[in-house]
Amino acid sequence: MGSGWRVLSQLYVAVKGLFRHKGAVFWIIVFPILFYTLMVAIWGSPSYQPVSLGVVNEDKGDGYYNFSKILLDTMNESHLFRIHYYNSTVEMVNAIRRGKVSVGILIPEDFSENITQVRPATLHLYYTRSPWSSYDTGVVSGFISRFSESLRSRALNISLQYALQYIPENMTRRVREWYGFVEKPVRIVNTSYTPEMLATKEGIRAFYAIGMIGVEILFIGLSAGVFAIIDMKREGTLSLLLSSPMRSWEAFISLTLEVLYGVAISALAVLLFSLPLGASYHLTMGQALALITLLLVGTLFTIGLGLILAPLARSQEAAMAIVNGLAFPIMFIGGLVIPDFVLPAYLRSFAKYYPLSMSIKAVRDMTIYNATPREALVEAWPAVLATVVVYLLGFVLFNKLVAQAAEE
Amino acid sequence: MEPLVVAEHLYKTYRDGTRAVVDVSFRAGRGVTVLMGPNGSGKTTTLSMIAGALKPSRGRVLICGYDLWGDGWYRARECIGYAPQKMPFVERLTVLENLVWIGLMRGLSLGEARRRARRLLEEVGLPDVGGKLVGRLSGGMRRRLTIAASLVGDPRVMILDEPTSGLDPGARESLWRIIRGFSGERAVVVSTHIPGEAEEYADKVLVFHRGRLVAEGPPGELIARYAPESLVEVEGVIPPAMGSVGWRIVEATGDRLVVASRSPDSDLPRLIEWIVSSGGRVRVARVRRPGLREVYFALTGEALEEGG
Repeated sequence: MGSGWRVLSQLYVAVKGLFRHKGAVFWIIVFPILFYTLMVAIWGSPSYQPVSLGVVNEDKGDGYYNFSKILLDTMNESHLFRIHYYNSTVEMVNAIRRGKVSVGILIPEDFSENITQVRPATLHLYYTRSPWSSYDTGVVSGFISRFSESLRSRALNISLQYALQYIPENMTRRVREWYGFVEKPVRIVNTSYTPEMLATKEGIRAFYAIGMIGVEILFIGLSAGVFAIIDMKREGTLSLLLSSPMRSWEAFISLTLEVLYGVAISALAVLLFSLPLGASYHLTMGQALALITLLLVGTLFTIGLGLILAPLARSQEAAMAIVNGLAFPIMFIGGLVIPDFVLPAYLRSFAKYYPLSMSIKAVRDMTIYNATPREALVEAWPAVLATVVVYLLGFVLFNKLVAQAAEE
Repeated sequence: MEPLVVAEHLYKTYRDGTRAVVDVSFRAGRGVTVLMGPNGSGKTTTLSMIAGALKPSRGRVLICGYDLWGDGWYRARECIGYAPQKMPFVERLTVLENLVWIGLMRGLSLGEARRRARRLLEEVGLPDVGGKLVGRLSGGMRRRLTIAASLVGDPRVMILDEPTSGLDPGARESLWRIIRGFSGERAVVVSTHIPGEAEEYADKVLVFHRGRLVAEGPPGELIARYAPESLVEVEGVIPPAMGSVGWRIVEATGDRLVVASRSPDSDLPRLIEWIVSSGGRVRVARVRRPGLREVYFALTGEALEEGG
């Protein structure tokens, strides 16, 4: 029974002491809540930023139907655009160059006249050649194309009504089909579904809560591994450990339990805090168990990785540099904070294959997309395999470092 | 009966070539064994090696008959209660929780660790501080807690590294009384750089000098062997020509005379009588008996100061 109690020794310290340690409370509870709140405030709702559109309207439209007004009113009502009016093209182009608006349109003075007289009208589109403005340019082009299509439909309809008066009865069906083809050669049949969750407020907030738990696992697990021996030497607990009948595997499990407790408290804090902020989780018992398993896998992998790096950390400063130097980039490129589909293609493969990211992704699949426990675990099996290898390797190195420390 | 601690030909050489301990062998049974020497003499290194915290470069340690660095490592460590000079208490835990934590490390159940912790706090005179955070204890209380911490596993061998260092004389005396109180059925191995402590409380003293064990034995025996002469001191008006009467003079001036003597109790009246009969006058007379400080000087030619 001695072994059982010995492996619980560090957990006892964590349970009794965590909430008396201001630094630990900050990093394990306050920091993830603050960071989560920040993420929710910035990206927490499925809202779209309207396209910032510059307009120079020279259309006279005197005596004609005012088509430029119809176009601009429709744009306004769509809420897709925030329109800024300029007096001249030069002024608008300057605004585009300075990034005040991303796209501009010039409506020439004969715009309404030409449409009314059934002549081709022209609109001038201005934009910068940058990857960031291509989406905005597409939205504006698409909107104008739809406007143009609606005009064509009207014109064709008038023309069809006129033609039908002179066409024999048996030909009308074919003529209608012909006009229909000219109006829209390819028709799109839309079928929409309610997304499982991600596009909803609840889904996005759950997404970031799970991501925040991943960030905590990353920092807590990596620090625990890298600092394990250095801290024991600094605090003097290593000499107590060496002089006690504690086996090194018992010390290793004890350290793991301490880390798991910290991760559990942190995860619980984030999950509970995310509920009033609008996150929603509907998990079955099986999904909840799979979630715990996957978070355990992510944590064990990270502890193991920390221990593999521990021999490189010969001082507190070096250990700190290793933890921060790795954890900060992984936090972003590992798909924990930033969704992996936002990442550039060459970084996406890291988020796809990094074991902690795989575990977190599988957890998200269950909590957000309602994947079954089996689907989630099958998706994460390479992470489980990697964790077994890395955690065992971490144990071997832990053993070696303890033995080395006993010689110094 | 087999001694509880056996150290055989211990060597410790660090990677940088520093030889901290050279061929140290000793045995310690029940009672208090004190390792005495100045800082850097190899005491702490030797204690760490017999406590299991530092692996010797060469040599063997048997604790309770088990090979500490070999097959018997587990049983040997079950026998040890070790308190390094700076006990690594967890500052955010209370006094009681710290003892329970150490108890768990030693394989006690939670309930048993709590029971022992409470009992030990009473035994070391800290019955009312169990709920206090360790950081709020005074230096003396912390040292008592260190003694309790080394006893949580109910060890047969207690190893304490400079347990009284930094304490005032009153606190030192009270701590030594506690240590002696626990030494009845146990081997208590303690290090100190204060010869007075070793002399007063040790059953056996091991004298360390530059990583080597230079002498060992009960304090009285060491003194009798290495520093048998007391100093008889007289102050007043000292007549000249002292050398002619056969005293072994250590210091002689016009107003002070110090002579070495193996029989100070009979030599002091004789010396006073001679001074007075020779026309001198005695204002103050005293005998300074030798101690372990003198033993250390006799063995090494170096002074061992009380303050380290």
